[in-house]
Amino acid sequence: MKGWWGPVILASVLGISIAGCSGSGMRPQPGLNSALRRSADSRRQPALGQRWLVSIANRNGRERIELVDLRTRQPVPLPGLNQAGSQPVSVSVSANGKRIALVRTREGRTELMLYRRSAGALQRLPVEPSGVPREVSLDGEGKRLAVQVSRQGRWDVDVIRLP
Amino acid sequence: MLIEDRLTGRAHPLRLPAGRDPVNLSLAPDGRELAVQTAEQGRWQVEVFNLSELLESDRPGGRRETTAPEEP
Repeated sequence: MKGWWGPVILASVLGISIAGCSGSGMRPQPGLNSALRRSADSRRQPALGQRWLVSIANRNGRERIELVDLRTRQPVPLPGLNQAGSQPVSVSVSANGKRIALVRTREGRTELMLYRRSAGALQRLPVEPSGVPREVSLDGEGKRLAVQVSRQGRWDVDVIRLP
Repeated sequence: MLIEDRLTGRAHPLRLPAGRDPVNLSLAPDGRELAVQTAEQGRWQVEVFNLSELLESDRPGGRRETTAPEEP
């Protein structure tokens, strides 16, 4: 991969947590962060697009997928995505914010889904060979996704090309 | 947390404010921003940080870096 979408920079959690962050060149965005903090009881599974932040927000014990426009700092509507009786597990967004990939549980099943914002359409993606999806990551263009899948007690990572 | 710049081979340790532990993270496609899920007193939060002082932006390929040539 190259250029814009290429993994030129690799980020990983190594568990170093030291007081203060300004010295490390990492500037917090106070307005955005306080808005994120105020708008949910808790929040998890962040994924960044170019000007988009998708995450799973918990309010009053119910978890919903939320997409925030980083320019306006406002959530945008996602009609048809957060359905009654479904529980989001993992979520990712393409760079342009047009596609959201997610793993959810619904009626006892764990499903890999793709949501297209322009159409408001939610589509189930088959996992083959069959397995239980867990974590999902969409590439910048929204044309490929990587999904962590449990098969007979073993973790695999599948890469799926999307139409 | 650590960001490794594969272009330069440099590793950049990142520090969170005291009392917050990193759980999960996501780097923006151009490397300018980082979103971190933190745990603070048992509560998960998401915070966004600007990295533009730390890293050169990973810009799209094919972008013009000079002005267009003048017409004769």
